[in-house]
Amino acid sequence: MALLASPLKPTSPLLPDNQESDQKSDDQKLLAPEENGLERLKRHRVAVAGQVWIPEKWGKEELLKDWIDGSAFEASLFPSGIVSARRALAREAKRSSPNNNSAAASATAGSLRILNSC
Amino acid sequence: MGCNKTIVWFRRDLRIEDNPALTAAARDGFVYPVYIWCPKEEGQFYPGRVSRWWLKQSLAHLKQSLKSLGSDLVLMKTQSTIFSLLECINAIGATKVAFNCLYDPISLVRDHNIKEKLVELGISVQSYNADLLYEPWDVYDENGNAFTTFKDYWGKCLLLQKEFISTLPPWKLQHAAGSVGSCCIEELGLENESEKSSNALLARAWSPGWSNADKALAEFVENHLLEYAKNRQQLGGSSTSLLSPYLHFGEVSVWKVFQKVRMKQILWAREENAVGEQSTNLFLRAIGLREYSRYICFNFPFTHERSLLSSLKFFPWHASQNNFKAWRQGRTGYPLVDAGMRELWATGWIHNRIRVIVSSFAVKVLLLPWKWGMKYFWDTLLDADLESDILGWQYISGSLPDGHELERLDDPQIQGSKYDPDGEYIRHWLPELARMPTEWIHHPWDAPQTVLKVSGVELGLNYPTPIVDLDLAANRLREAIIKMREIEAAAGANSNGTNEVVMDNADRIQSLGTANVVAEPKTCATYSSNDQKVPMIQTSKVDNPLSRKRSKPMEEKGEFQYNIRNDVQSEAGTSKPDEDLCSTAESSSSKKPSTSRTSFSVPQFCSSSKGLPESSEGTTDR
Repeated sequence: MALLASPLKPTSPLLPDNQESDQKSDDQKLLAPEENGLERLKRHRVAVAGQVWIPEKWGKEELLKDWIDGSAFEASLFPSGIVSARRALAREAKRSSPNNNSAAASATAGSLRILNSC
Repeated sequence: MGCNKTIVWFRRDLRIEDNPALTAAARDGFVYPVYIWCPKEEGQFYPGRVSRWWLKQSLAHLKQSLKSLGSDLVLMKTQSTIFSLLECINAIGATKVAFNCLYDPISLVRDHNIKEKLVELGISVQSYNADLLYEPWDVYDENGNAFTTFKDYWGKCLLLQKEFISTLPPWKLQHAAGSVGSCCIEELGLENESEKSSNALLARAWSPGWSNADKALAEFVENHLLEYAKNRQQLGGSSTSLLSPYLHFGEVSVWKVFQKVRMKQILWAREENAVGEQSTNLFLRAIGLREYSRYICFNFPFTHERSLLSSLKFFPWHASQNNFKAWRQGRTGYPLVDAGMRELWATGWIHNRIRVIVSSFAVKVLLLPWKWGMKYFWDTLLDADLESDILGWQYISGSLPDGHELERLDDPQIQGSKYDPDGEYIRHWLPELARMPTEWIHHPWDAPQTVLKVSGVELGLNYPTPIVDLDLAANRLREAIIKMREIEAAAGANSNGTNEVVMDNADRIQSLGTANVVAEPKTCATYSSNDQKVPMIQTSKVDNPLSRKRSKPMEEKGEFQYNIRNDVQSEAGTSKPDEDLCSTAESSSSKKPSTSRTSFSVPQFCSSSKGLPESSEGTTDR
C-alpha cells in the first residue's frame, strides 16, 4: 500500500522517503514528479469518468433504521459532562492567557495548564 | 532544553510545524509522541471509510517525519484512551502529558475526563489551541452573548487583535525510552480488506500528510488564489483549495493558511489589485466558516430539549431505503444530483455547492432522514468533519437564522442551468447523457423522443426517469411541515409560537463571557391565515420555462404515508416497492406548491455537508 501517493523528493530529512515504494500501484509510479494535487485530482476525474460504479450495497443498510430516531445520535452530541467540560476548558484558557503578548509567553499562547495537584 | 519526559498525544493535529504541544514538549526535554486509536470511544461518530483511509496515510506520513527528527510516533489500539495514556506514562516515567485541544462535544468531554484523572494521579497536563484562529470564548457581542449569524461573528473576528504565533518544527527531538503495547499502522485496523478496493480510487487522486498539505497550500496561494473569486463557482473542483481534509486532520495549521492568504491580501491591496483583494476576502471568509462551525457547536451543543435541529425533531421523514439507494447511487433521474453523487463516490470530494444541492434533495425532495444523508457523507467524504457537518445540515434544514428555510425546495434543473450551464459537469459524470444537447441536459424527461434517440438515451432504461415529480415533492414537503407542526404542538413544543433557533439549554456559561444567547425569532416562515400554518413559499410560481413540462416520476400517485419507522421495517422485510411514497398532491391545499426559483448561494465550507451563507452573493469555498 502506498503511503505517500505524491512522490515528493526527500530533499528534507523531515519529508518521508518513498517508503514501501515496492508496493506502490502502477498509477502512482507513473505520477509525474511535479504533478500537484489539483492536477492529480483532475487527472483522476478524467480517468474515472464514465466508469463510476457505485455498489448495490453500501454496507450499512441494516443500521439505517437506528438512524431515524435521533435520540442516541443526538445524545452522543450532548454527552454527559459537556457543560462542565466546556466551562473548565474556557475558564482555564482564559486564566492561562491573561492578555500576555510578550514573545516569551507567546510560545505557549492559548495554552491552558492544569498544574499537578500534588 | 529541559529533562522532563512528556507524552505528546496526537489527535487531529498531524503535523510537526505549528504544533504547540509538540514544540513545548520538545523544549522541556524528552518526548513520547503517541496516537491512540480507540474505536469504542468514537461511538456514533466512528470515522467513515474514506476518513479512516486518510488518517492511515497521514499517520504513516507523520510517523516517518518524527523518526527523521529522532523520535517516533507510537501507535496504539485500545479499548480505553486513558488506560493507554497511563501505560505510556508508566513506561517512560512521564511527568507531563501535552496535547492540542479539540472542540467537538465528544472530544471535549473525553479530554476533560482524561485531564481530571491524570491530574488526580499527579500528572501535569497541558493543552493548547492548535485548531482555531479564535477559540469559542474569544468572540462575543457587546452584551457578552454569542453571535448567532455568521456575518456578525466574522465581522467581529476581523476586528479582534490576535497575535498568531507560528512555530517551526523542532530541530531535533529526544525520544523518551520505554516500551508499550504498540502496533504497526496496519494493525490499527483503519482499513478493512473489503474497503481497500474502493479506497484504491482515492489514492490515485489524493496525497494525505502534512508535507503534501504544505504543498497544496503553496500551490493554491501562488497559482489559484488570485482567481478564486471568479473560479470558485465552478463545479469541477479545480477552483477551490482542496485543503479541507488537510485542515480536518490538522496537517496544516489554520494560522498558516490565514497568514499566507493575509500576506497576499496586503500585497494585492498595495497593488490596488481589486480582483485579488476580493479573492482573499472570500477565501478568508471560508476559513471563518470553519471557525464558526466550532463556535456554534461549542456555544450551542445539541440537546434533546432544544436541539439545534429542533425544527426537525418532529419531522415525518419518509424512510425509504429504495429512495436512499437511488440517491446514493446517483440514480434519481435528476442529472445534477446524480452527477454529484457519482463524483462523491469516485473522488471522496464534491464542491460545496453540490453538497448543498444533493443534501437538500435528499431532505426536501425525498424526505429522507437527514441522519442517513449525514452518515453517508460521513462515510464517503474525505473531509468529513463533525462540527462542519452539523452546521451544514442545520443550514439546509431551517435551523439557522441565516440558512435556508425549512420550506424552501430547490429545483436541481434550475440549479443545473445556473451552475453548469453547458452541462459539462453532468456529461463528465453521467456518460449516459454525454450526447444529450445542452438544451435538455438538465431535464432530459422533457426532451423530444427524437432527441433522446439521437442522444442514445432511453429513459427508464439507461438513465432513470425522475424519482419523484418536483411539484409532488413540494406538496409532500409542505404536508410534512404541517404534520411536523401538528406533532410539535401536540408535544407542547414551541407553544409560544416561536422557533428557537439556537439555545443553550443548560449551561449559561456567563462566567465565560460568551454565550447566554437570546434566541432570535425565526423570521423566515410566514403563514397563510387560510391554511393552517402552511408556510408561504417565497417564490411561489413555477415559472421556469424549462420546466413547463413536468418530470415523469417513477412513482405512482397514491396516499403519502407519514409512517416513519414502519417504512423501513416493511421495506427491509418484504422488499416492498415505493408505492407509498406518493402524495395526495392537492389534498391539503389548493395552492400549487412551488420550488424555489431563486438560486441559493452558499459559502463553501470545508464540510462533509454544507456551508453557511453570508449573503446570497458572497459565497466562498475552499
